[in-house]
Amino acid sequence: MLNHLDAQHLHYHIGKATLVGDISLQVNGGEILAIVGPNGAGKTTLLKLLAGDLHPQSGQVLLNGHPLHHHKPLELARHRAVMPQQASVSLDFTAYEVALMGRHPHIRGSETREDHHIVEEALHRTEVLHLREQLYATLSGGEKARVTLARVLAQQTPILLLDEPTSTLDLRHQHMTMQIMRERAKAGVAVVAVLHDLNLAAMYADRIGMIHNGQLEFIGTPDEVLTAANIHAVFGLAVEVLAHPTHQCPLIVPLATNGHVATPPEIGASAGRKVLADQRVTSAPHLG
Amino acid sequence: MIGKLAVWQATTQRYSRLFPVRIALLLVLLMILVFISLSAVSTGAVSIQRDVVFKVSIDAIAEKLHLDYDSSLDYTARCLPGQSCVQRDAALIREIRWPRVIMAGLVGASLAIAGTALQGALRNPLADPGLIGASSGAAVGAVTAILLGVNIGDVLHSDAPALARLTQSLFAFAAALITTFGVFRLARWQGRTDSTSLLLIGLAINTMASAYIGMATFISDIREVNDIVFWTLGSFAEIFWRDVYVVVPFTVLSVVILPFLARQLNLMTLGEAEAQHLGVNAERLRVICVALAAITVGVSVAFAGIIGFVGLVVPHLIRFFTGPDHRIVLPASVLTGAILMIAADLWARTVAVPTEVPVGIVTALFGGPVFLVLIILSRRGRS
Repeated sequence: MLNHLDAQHLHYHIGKATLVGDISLQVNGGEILAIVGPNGAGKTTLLKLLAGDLHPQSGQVLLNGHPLHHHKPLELARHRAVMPQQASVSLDFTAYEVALMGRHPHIRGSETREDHHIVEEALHRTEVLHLREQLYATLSGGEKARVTLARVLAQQTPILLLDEPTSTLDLRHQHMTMQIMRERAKAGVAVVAVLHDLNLAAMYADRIGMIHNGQLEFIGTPDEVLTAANIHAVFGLAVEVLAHPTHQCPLIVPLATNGHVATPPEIGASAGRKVLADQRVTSAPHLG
Repeated sequence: MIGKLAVWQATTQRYSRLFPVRIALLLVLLMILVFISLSAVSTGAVSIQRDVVFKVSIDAIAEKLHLDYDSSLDYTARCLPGQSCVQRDAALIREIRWPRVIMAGLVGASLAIAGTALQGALRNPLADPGLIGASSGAAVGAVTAILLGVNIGDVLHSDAPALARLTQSLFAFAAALITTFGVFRLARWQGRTDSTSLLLIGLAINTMASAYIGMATFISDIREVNDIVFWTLGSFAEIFWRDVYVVVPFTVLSVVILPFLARQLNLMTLGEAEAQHLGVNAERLRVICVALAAITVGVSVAFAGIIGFVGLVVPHLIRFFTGPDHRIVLPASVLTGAILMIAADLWARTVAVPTEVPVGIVTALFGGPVFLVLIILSRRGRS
């Protein structure tokens, strides 16, 4: 498959602040990799490095074996789509026109009937087809996110990079979004999603990378990564990990005692760093 | 399922109907442009019948193309004092009126398309060719030439007044490019250009430029002040074919290249990073748009002086009617800019005969209220 993203020893700093320090990971077609971690851990920076928005000071990202910056912008746009945290549009385009922009990398000259069909299909899938004639700027945050998701889907790329795609969505549409990602993965697409909701990550991701202070602390299957000890170490929150009643995945329940939910993280003293060099390589997708 | 399909087909049809509608709009604008040009040529201190204007123009084109064509006009008729005659009218139409009207059209088109491209590329509806320093820089250059009294004529040992004007134009054009480049260079930081700081730096440079021009006006004698006023308020007086020939290639450059960037400019509204994700080289797009705007506006200002508001208002006016798609906004703003500038110049030279009002005053006089109305109307349309 021509959809393989390989990040090698990425390092990115601004001044003395290290935002991403020596992160390596791989994503293959057919899997969803969720990136989780506390605020300011470097999740978005990592995603920007993977997208090619930022250039790492050392290390590199290989897209199908070639460094990202060897690809021209248009070529890159046919390989990977990126869903931003928030998307604003500076002029009064309609929701439909915004979604149609996703077809840009494929359009030569003028858009065809097929382009329109793909966009309508995408808007229908993200349940915003009825809003297509409305001005994008007048939509609610969640509606904007779904239109943006439709734009990203209409780009029809073998790699999807999503930065908190569910943060503005209601419960139903959070799961709709993740189900769409599952469908895409099943069709062979490689998905990287920054997620805040650990339970969402647990239910839908094939692998989870947990980031803390610019380091990839843990990476592996949800069962391996989402342990009470790991979550306490990285998020500084006491949780209990249960078995999901209907799914084969962990269910994280925060524990609150005497009004204190947070205790300071103690990385060194807790379960320890689980990521080892060999584990990064061996934790291949467990999909057929 | 059938309902869904019907909805889909309806949308596709709506968007496939868009193209003929847009072509029709452009044709209508083109017809208005031709009509207003003929009206402008026929109107003036000496009024000429519109059919005479039309015939003389056709004759002139036929002559230029060496067509074998019999004119219905009698150019040999004797000219009597105090009466119009074909010979004198033809000279007026061909050598005075048409170059002036065409120059007004070219400058209007240049300012409008530059404004549209800048507003798109910088993602800022306030962007205007004047705001990136092109106009004020040009004025500073021209004023400097006036103050120093430099004249290419001195070098060429000629005292033709046109050479003094040409010197000022060259200074204006050079200064416009230097200023815009300076603004752009200052706004560039770590390999990319921040649109907001570009506009803020442009604002700062403009303030300095107007201080300089104010100071120059203060220390100049009356004759020099007249020249300076010409540059700062804009005018199409004393425009001849040789000026038109210089401006045409620059305007054509923008008008031909920019529409090819229309879809990329649309994507820029999503944000720079998002445009990049969709395959747009945002920095290159911005450099191209700013460079084209600087060149086109610089050469326009070099011949016509500063004419404000057209570059800012025309894009807003078009978007109000057509929506924001640059594929229609760019060509429509070319035609509309030309139409409005020809109309403004017509008004400027006929409202206070025998004197002329500077055309920059006219564009501001009408552009300001129109802009206000647009802002209020589009606010209503949104809520």
